[in-house]
Amino acid sequence: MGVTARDVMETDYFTIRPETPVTEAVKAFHEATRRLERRVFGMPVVNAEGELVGMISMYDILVLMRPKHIEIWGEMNDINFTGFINEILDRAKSILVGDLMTTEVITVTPDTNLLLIVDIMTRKHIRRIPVIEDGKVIGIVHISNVFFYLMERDPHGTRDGASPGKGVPHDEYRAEIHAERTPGSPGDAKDCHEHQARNDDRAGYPVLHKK
Amino acid sequence: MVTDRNFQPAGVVSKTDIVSAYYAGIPIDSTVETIMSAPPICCAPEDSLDHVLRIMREKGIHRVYVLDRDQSAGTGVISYSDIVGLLYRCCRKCERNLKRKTSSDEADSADLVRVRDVMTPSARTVEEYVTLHEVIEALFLHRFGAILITWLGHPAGVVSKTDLILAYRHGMPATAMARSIMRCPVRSCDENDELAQAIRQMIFWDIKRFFVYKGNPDEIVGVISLTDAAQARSGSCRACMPSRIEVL
Repeated sequence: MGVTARDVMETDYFTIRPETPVTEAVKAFHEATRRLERRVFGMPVVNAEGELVGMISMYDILVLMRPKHIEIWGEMNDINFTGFINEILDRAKSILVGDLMTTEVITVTPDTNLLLIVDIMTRKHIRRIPVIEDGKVIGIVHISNVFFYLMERDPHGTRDGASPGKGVPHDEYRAEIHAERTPGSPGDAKDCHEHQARNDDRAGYPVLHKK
Repeated sequence: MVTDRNFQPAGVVSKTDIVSAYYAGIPIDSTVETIMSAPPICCAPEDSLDHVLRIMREKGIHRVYVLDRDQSAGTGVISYSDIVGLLYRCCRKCERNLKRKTSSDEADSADLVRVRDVMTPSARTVEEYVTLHEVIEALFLHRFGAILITWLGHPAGVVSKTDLILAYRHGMPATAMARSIMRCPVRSCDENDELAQAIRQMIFWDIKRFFVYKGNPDEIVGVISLTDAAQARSGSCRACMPSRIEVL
């Protein structure tokens, strides 16, 4: 058997609940970045049962925060941005992660072949894919995991089989901006699934999953 | 805009439609077809802004969809805020405006359009203990996008259609009190403030309206929105107001 998602996935990751306010999600991205010691640009959203219901990314939050008339700002050369972000976040406090998250999420199983993951990521423009086992998220495959694995190792697993999940360099800053934006079926990929989101009313905050 | 299976324009779902659905108790997982208005109000790319403003005023709508030349697909949308943005840009480049910035001439200052010149001179209020049902009734009765919530007669917060839609989305019963979803503090300005300054603030802060007071912030006398500014075709000063759209 070749290299699979299990071999490259990150097993330390944060999840967040759909009923978490966006203002708390912003803090969660900071917290996740600090504790995982790498930049975190997106998180799986799970319900109280731990089932995946969506994905939330920085992109989703930036779309919310983007001013409607930003094209005019270029001509407002005397504008003062002091307090702007706080004002936007204050207005967003009644908006929840569940209101913004992408609900059609492509996932893979731990046994999904790495080359199939490459195919999904490149064709669907996805930068991270949750790995699901028994209905629960058990890891995330980032595009950087895949990229560095392929650059450094034989994707068919005939050479060094050391897991590249931890310690793989992360430099997703430029690429992340379009993450999780393209819903759709992965076609004939047997090991990937598209999850239709369900929402949950109970309170919840970001949770660190560590293996 | 709602399209049919062939991606042809079929209707429009507005905030008003969604709030109406909330009021009527329609389940949130109903199809958009249940609540959409049809047919969509559209214009052509070459139509004048004057024409578009007239359509908006006559139909009581806030945006018009722009169809391509063979009218088979939408290519854009134009709203009141787009028009105000255009006016704003025009004013900033206007020689008269540039001159005023370096002049202390009182005549120049008197020429400025004030908030009171274009505001809607009434502001309906409801007390914070009324239900969301009653808030919706008040909004529809007066055709407002938002209503001032008061506490013992003092401005306490604002409930807009957007707030009601979020309440609908979050499963809040329409029997909940207005104070449970109102936003505060109340964004307000004085009726004697320069209109250009108010528009600038609304554009920068992404605020659709200011409640207008007369001297004392507790004494709300009207509302100024980007819609009011667009309908009045008002820029910074009176010089070209009547013909501004045509000039552009």
